[in-house]
Amino acid sequence: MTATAISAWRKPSVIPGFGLALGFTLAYLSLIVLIPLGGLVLRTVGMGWPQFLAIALDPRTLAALRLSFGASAIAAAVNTVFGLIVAWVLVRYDFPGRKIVDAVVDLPFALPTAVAGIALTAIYAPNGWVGQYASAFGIKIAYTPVGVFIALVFIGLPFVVRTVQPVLEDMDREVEEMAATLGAQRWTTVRRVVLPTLVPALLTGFALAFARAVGEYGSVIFIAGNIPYVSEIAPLLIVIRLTEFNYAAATAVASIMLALSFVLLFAINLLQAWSRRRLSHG
Amino acid sequence: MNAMTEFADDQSIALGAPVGVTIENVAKDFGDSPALHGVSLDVHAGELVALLGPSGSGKTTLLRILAGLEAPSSGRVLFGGEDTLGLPVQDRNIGFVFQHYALFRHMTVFDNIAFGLTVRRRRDRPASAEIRRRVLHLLDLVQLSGFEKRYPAQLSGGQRQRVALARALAIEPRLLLLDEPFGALDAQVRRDLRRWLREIHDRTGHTTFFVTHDQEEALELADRIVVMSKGRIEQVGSADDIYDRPASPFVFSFIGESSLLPVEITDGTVLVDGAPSGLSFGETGTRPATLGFRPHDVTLVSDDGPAIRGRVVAERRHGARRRLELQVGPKQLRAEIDVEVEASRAIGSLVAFQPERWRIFPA
Repeated sequence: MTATAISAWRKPSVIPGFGLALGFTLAYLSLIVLIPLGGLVLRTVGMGWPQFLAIALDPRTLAALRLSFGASAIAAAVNTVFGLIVAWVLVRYDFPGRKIVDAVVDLPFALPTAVAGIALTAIYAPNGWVGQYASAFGIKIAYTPVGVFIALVFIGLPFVVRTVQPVLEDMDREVEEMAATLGAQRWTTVRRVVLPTLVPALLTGFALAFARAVGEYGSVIFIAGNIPYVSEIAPLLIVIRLTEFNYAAATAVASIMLALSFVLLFAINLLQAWSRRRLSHG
Repeated sequence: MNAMTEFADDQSIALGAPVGVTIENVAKDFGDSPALHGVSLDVHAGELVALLGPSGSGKTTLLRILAGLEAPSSGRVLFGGEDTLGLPVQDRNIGFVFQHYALFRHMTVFDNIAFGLTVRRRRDRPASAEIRRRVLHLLDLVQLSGFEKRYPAQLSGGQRQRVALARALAIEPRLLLLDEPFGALDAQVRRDLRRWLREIHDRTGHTTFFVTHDQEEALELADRIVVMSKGRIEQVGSADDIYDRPASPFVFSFIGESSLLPVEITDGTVLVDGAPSGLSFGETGTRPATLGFRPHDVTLVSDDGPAIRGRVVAERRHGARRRLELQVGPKQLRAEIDVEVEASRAIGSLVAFQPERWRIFPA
């Protein structure tokens, strides 16, 4: 690529290496992300509409997708609220053991998901530590959609905490003091001054937790019980189809997940861009 | 901003009646390091007071204690005779302006200014039409009419600071507290805003404290200046008081240009570096002291009589005159003097001079 060809693509900049960096980025993205996904879409397209619709509208597929996306959305929403509280506590208060709590937040990142799944199952199963009390009230957690939800909350929490925390740390305390001198009580200040400035970070945290939850497999399958139509998640359905050598069905479900995820994440991104623009207006 | 002639109806900027402020022995410790050592000050209603001092002098801490953003470790603060101890910041009804504006960046200019009114309890909250009328009037006062739909990021620094002031005025404060209000602005905007703040104060009559490290700002704006250093009040007085009758070497050197030399007074004679300076100070006995003079208040004298002698180490143009930087005596004390351009001396040459006006501070 000649210098003039590059200059047609971008504004002049003193930072060198645009051509190289962009080339590498595109090659890398293609190799790691786009080509595998392209292959997936190609296979799906290859099967033709009637067969695709038959798989897509199969009640078992629909139930699995509904559970995966529904439980993920609820779990991400719950994580957004509690992740914000955890981040708030970690940033705003100094207490003994704060560093330890801070480190514990990252555990769901590091723990092999299967380990998490087995641990959660052990606790929430009807004879487990927590499950026995829940079942005393007639509530079943493990082997139901509630179990799926709990596993997804577990793995999504760090995403919200870690995106909100730095924004909260950078927040200008004078703005809150200002609100107080103007007569705003603490809760009013949080609601009208602090939370609005956190919206972009909260949306990012929600999107990350949601995306992670939709794709989660290891921690869910143990606690879910995997009862078709009830507690069977879409990623598991794909694996089941693969083990049945039903590649067409597997790719079809995968493509639907891909499309849905893309649309949802894109929408969240737009929302985020909008709220960010409102904050840094100019 | 310069054409500050008309304020249509300033009576309608309703005020919480301005209050006098009494500060009694206020001290503040942050952990081990004391920020204020027992400060006392009386300010009457409607006064414009500057808290002037270098950074670390405790001036901002004092302002934050007045606001209720910090609690004093000991001592009392009274607003109009009423003890503010235990009065939370929300209930103090003070208008505060931060150096970096602290605007709510997700709100429009209108919502920023209206904030203090909209957060009130329902029974104290003005109707929205009344809020709107007041906000627009304040925008008019700070000369930002038509900016109500903008966001803070779309404004210049000077405009943001004016929004911050309008927001502080909106709650009809009893007291206006400004923390380095012009510190982040460039020189021209500073000067304009300074004059404009004086006019607003004269029209609205708030009791106002402002913190600054800029002596020019303090001298020009304030009715009274409180010079602070290391957590103590060094002097309280008018611009003339602190400029012409400084109470301590610190005030003398902090306000205006100055040279300070350690001297010894022996039976009425001021000795600089052991040699008579030609200055006399009516006092018997021997004691050390500090001699202070302004660089522009000196005359050159012949080298054979009593004088202060120094060697020129640097010289530079200073307005209409030339400033010489001198090394005085073997201890290499520094002094600065201004001389006529044609009387300038070469670097390394010896200069004899006497201050025309000077002050002796006991050591």
